[in-house]
Amino acid sequence: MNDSQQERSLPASTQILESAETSKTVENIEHDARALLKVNNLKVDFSNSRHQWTRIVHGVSFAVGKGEILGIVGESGCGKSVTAFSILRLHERRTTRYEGAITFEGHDIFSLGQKQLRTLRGGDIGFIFQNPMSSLNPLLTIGQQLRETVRTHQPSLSKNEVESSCIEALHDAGSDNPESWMKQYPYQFSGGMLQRVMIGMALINHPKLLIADEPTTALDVTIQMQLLKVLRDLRKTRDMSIVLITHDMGVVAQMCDRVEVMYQGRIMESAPVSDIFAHPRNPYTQGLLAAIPPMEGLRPKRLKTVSDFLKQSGSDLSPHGNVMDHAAFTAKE
Amino acid sequence: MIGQRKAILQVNSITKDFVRRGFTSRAQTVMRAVNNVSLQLFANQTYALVGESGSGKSTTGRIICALERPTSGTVVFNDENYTDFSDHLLRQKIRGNIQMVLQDPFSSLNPRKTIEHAVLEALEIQKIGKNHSERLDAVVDMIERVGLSSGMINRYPHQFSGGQLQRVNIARALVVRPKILILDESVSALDVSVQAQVLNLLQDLKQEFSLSYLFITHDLSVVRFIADRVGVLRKGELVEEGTVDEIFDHPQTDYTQNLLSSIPIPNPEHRQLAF
Repeated sequence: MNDSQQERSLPASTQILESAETSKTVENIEHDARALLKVNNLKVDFSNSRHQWTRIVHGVSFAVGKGEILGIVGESGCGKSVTAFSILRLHERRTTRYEGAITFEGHDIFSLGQKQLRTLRGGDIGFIFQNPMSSLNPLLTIGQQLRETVRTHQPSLSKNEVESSCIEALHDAGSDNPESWMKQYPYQFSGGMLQRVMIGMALINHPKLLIADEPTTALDVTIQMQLLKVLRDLRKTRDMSIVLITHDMGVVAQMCDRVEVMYQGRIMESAPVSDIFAHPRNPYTQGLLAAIPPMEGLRPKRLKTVSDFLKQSGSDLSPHGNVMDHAAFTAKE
Repeated sequence: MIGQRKAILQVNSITKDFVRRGFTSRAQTVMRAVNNVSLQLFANQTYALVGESGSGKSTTGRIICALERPTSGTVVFNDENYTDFSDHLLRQKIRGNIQMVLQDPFSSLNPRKTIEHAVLEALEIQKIGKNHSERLDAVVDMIERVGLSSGMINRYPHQFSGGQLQRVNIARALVVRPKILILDESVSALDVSVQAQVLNLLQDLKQEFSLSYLFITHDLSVVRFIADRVGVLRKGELVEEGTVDEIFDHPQTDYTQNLLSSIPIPNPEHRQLAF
């Protein structure tokens, strides 16, 4: 058994299925005028120090409707975070090349200037990262960091208005005592509390879209449940759209309306959440679901793995355009 | 049924305090990480220790592995109390029998040494095998048993994926033929499909080498798959213990119930949160 051979294989049959699906999705997006965010045939390339370009995302299309929670799910290295970062063009400029189109409320993200982008970031589009500890400045109080976010985007507000919108955001993010949180420093908080602060900071300018990149992965399950509840309530009270990036199929099932399953920089399957779990069509999705140890019913002796399903569908086990894999495979066997 | 068998490892009411001194003052604060925990491990059985971060599950594992000494209480392996063993005695009697695999497969290996070196070193320290070539045979054999190919042994850690590296770490732990393997969040950092492969491998190896596992994790779905008995830790105390079926079907404490109901179920028809 060779992990990376099995992990990275992409069956020929899947590729055909995928390209047919992509074109269908694009059509849907064209017709869906209500979509808040449209990503059309996005390709992202990164370069290394020797100016060699590697394609990370191979033509991804999806749309996010108003008030919708879209899940992007996949294993590490599948390009889900790269796709999400591309929505705000957060990748290092010199080493990144984009193709395709991303439109947010009809504005083409790739033709915006840096200044316009900055009003979008933390303004109409909020972003939550995986690790709340490294997202906050340890030398400033929570209040200082929240106030800065408000003043940058809404300079006309008075001091009192700034203060009250900070407190309102923290309250909406599930803080029981926002006033005292404002005076405290990040080290005084647990991981779950800090992630609430991050959610509050993302909410503070009333974004229309929230991008959450593995927001609960670093947290305990009990805390995770509380935060997922906060996000779900926010969607309801603020009619906000959420792009939720995760590798946890349980979180997807609990949270999302629609799901995009990504693998090796491509979308394997795109469907409403109930369809993905009840009738997964793509062998990769089937494998991903079967690999989760079941919480009810009989306990299996062995777990099925993704490779079982890819083998069934007649895949070749060749490595596929991944930098790390190349290192492993070009080394002498 | 279990009561009649003899435990190969007994943990008798261990307590561990971590003392923190102030930077300037002499004032001390005591953190009780593990509080009066007792458990038993039986041959060819998997005991899962679950709990939230900071509940003391890793500290318990480290004490059993003799990486940490308890403040009070004893740990007994095969009728021998090794709580106060010297480093020399530990190496002679315990290290070869109790091994550990950690969470992060990358940081567990020296990036400048080949995996052959990593696995071979364990044999050399334990003085297993007559000569180099005999040890090398044992390394190749173990590498193949964990599902890697013998041609890979001259590679460096960066040339492997996370799942492959965790197999290397398992090989390194098992090459000295221990009786007990402590798995501290060993599959938590892996993708779900790779996690399934490594869990299957662990099940196979357990049979092949008649191992006992102490499986430390926060992921209850993995526990249900792999464990025979489960202990639930909270703030350093063992709040509940039982067979997998007892814990999952009839949890006795509110804490365990809360823990179980917090796992996101991968089924959109059963939403745990009201919309």
